[in-house]
Amino acid sequence: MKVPWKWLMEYCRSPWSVEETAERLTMVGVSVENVVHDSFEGKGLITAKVVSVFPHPQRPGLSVGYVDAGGRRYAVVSGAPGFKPGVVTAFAPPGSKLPRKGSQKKQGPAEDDSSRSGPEALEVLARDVHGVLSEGMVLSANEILTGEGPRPGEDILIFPEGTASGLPLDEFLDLDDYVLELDLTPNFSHCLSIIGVAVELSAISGVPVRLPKTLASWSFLDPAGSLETGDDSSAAAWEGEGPRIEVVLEDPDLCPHYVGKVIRDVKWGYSPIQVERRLYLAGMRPINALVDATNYAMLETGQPLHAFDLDKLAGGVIQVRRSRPGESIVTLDGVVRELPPESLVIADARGPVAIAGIMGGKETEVSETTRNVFLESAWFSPRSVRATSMRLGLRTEALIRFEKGVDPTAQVACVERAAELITRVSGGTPLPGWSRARAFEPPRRKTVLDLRYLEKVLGQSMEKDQVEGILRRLGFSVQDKDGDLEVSVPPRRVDVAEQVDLIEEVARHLGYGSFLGQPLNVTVSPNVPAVAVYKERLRDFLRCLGGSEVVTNSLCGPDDIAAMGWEADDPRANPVKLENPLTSDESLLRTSLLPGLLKGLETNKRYKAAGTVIWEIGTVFFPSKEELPLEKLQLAIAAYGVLSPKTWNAPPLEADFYYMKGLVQSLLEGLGVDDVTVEKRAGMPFHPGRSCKVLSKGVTLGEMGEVHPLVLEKYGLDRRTALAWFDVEALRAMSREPRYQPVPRFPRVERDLAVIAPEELEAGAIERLVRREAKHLVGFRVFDLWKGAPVPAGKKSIAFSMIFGAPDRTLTDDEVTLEIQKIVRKLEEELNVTLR
Amino acid sequence: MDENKGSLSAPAMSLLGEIGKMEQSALTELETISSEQELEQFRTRYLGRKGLLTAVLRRLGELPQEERPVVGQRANALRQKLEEEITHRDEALRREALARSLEREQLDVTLPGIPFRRGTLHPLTLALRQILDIFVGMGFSVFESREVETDEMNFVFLNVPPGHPARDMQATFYVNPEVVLRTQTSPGQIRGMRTYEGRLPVRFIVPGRVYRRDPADVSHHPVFHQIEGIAVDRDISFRNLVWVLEEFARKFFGPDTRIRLRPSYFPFTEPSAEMEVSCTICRGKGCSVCKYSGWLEVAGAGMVHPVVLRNGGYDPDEVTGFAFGMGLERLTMLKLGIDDIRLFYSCDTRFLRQFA
Ligand SMILES: [Zn+2]
Repeated sequence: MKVPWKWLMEYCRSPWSVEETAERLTMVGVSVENVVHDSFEGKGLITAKVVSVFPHPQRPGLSVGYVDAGGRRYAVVSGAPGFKPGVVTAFAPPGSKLPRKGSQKKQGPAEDDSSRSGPEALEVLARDVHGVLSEGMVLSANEILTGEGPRPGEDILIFPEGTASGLPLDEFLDLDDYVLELDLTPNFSHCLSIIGVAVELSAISGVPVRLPKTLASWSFLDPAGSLETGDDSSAAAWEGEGPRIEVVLEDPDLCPHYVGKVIRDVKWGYSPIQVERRLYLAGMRPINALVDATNYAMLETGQPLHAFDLDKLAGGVIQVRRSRPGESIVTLDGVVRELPPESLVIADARGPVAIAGIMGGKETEVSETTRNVFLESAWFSPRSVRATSMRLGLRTEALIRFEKGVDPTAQVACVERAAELITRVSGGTPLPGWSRARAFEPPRRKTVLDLRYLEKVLGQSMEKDQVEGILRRLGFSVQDKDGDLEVSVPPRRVDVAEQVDLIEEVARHLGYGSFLGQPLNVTVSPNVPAVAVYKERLRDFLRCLGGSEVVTNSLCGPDDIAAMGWEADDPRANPVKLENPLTSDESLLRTSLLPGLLKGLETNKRYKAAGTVIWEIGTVFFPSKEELPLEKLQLAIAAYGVLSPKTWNAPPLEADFYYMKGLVQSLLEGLGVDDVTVEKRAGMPFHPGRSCKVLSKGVTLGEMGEVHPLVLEKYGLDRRTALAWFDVEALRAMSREPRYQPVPRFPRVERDLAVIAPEELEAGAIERLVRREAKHLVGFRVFDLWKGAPVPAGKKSIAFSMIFGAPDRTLTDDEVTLEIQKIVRKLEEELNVTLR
Repeated sequence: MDENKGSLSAPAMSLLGEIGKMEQSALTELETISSEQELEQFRTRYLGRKGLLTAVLRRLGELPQEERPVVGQRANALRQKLEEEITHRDEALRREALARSLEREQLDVTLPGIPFRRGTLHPLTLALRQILDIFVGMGFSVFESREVETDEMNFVFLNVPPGHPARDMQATFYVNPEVVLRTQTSPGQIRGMRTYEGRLPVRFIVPGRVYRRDPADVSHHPVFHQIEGIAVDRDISFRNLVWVLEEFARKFFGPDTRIRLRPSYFPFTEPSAEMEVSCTICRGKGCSVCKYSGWLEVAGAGMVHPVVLRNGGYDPDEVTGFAFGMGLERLTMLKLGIDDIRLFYSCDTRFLRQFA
């Protein structure tokens, strides 16, 4: 909603500057997003009197005349019918400027004023018109406002007799103005009108609202007063000549009130320039005087109105009804629209002539040939018009108001106001009374405001008079009821239904700034769930291990899933799908963190990082039989390339299997996960020979390893890449809180063994055997591995160190030697492993 | 000793003379010694079992009984002196050797050290930890809620029935007509409240991911994070809300931060407010970040709507409550001066490693 400042001031004159007024409105909830100084762009335009006119020597239809512009004379060529001696008109002398074309369409914030004027304004030059030098131009309203030529049938501006010549046009026409650009929240539909904003301004400033006389009967400021004016009979119409219109409400659930008003013998034309300027400032395009009058009345009151050409309505009947299958309409914008089933339409005897509350039809619109007008003012069901608008993808100024609900008592007053505006410009005779049908009695809405509850919610005591005063200034009427307030709600305040709504009215007009903070006075011992604590513990460990935490999108696309190479029946290949994704890339809920991390690696590779380690803790999603998908917390780590480059004193560190295994081991150790084992070979996207499952006490926690070359190729990763992922709940179940273990008091004995083993034997098999057989073993570590000469083909040499110790004594050499002998024997028997 | 000299026999005098000469030559020699090995040889030569001084002592037997102590004392004095000198010399030699070795072991200290890889937490994690600390300090528990929600939880229970215009305020991703990706952490209000089963006071925050169907740009991302907070008790007031928001703003943005509340609209609170803080960039003077207003919107807040209280299992006639919600990304951006929300989701370590 855009509110032209001077228009607003007609209803409530602010005691403050534009900026301060905007600020004060914002602080009561009428959010003013921008204050735009819409200074008139034309420069040097003046009034001028036509002194004499002659036919153009070359061109019939054109005239040459002299104009007097405050002492200077100019020869001007024009084809306008109004270009006649004695007339005072608008004139652009050579060197003056017209607004740049189309400048009315955009408006920027106040600070950007400089960018909006200047080079693009159109400079008027003396020019040759078919052999006659025209020193400037006489102007139509459209040229003054838009820089574009006159519209069909538009004459030059003609000012009242006696207007002096040489007056600056912007001052004379009062074109300079400010616009308050409102960004209204959905509950502020009562400010979708200049008068609505004026009421708020009045409540802040105490300056009363002044309404045009025609609207004085409108009950909006006096909910306790009469809800309606005028003839109440639904069958009522005027007595007189011409077609009669009967209104039939076929679907009163969607339209319970429809008022039509006939104006006869109007003269077609354009609106006065000041009206057009205001419409522009309010963000609407002037069309013609008839349409403009309905728009002007809508902006003023918030009640949308529509003008039909009465003579184009067939059959003397207006039916307000649901659309029928197959019906369509050509709307004002020239588009053929199939009407969605159940759309509310206005129809004549032939068919739909308007989509109710959204847009009128082309066939019955007012045009140059219009003599008689049928004005519509109605109340339509917000839900119905909104649904139709969504189905059609068509939003209009009328719809924006109807979908929130307009004042159910405003129809008669507002149709009278529009009729008044029409006759003022276009002449014609409004017929008394209305074509009207009504199927409801607008309810009187009353709410009791419990002052103690108000004080409890707001946290401070409140004078009853103060509360009453605020409500009254906003148009509520208030009566005392057993110490509480019985409040009648103005019908236009469709947002106010219950007590809390009234509390908000009071609070916002008291000013939120008047509420001083008050500490919470009850002590609570807060609870942080174990999972949340555990996540932070994970994060701390991972930070110690050197990677960067990342946050990636939880939405992914079919390409991400396909790139992983999962089997078709793998749950990860069957993600939850969005019904209305923005793009295919973000159409699925992720089933794994790995695709996001691989993309993250690729991003860093693009930035020329030699190596990257990143990790994430986040939710993954799986379809479930329940109503809602399964959400699982996952941890994943990804490493790529050279993690620390070769330096002058150390070899490079690469993101290979053993790097990731070391990282994972450290992490699990830190978390207190015991009995960790690995099982070779994880599925896609891992390298089959360089990956494993990670288990604790036989329970799978996750997988790790290097990445399958086919997957790497899809992500353009050309160096070693390793991944790991864990189910956080599984990890948590296996983690133990640290507990004190006695520090060993007796010395430990370390013994090394070097053995020759079959090449395919895993080191883990040796470790398992040693751990099983050796008494007092407290540590096992492989420290060397060798293949090739002098070790025979098909064999490898493995060296490992074992640490022995007892909690209660020093082990003797003999004891340890016995253990070693047992190990050597078992290794040979079971694994074909011999001492080197 | 000296007064007896005159009466000493010739052999005794001779021995004493030898001892005197030996002392002189030994001390001279000692000064030329430059290694521990030489020093050891020196010691052996003079003090060893077959050393020169020992030889002198052996000859004591040749002297008359009464002269032996005099010469013996003299010899022992020399032995003691030489031992002391050797010790001194030894210490000096060790000092020199250490100095030489320190000299030899010098490094080029300008060469780089071993590359330790420092890990980093995400800036959103760092900010969230700080925010949680602040609210937990004010007695708020932490409640984590699901990301995929029923339409009912995300909208209906929060006083946004189907067809409500407020649904336009949030572009929603649907899984099916009844299931949405939560557009706000507010459904956590209902789920969280229900876990209290009517007990008072209710006071918790809900951090988490939310989803809006908005294309990504500098200030929008289809996935982002919110922190929701709610407090319900017999006499929670709007002024308590003001206090909590003020406390938060001062602790998060700094003690000089001012806050401003202005009326706004959320279906699940009434009265509703938009919370603004004095601009963290220009300190309220006006800049492009605050659009020259001096204020930055950081949170929505208000008194919990009776409908929401009822849906959470509380009687609005008995209790009141406040709630607030804020965007984690926005708070973090304002605090750290980050100008593009997409950076958070970029995985770009050039960005991420700035915030250890
Ligand atoms: Zn600023």
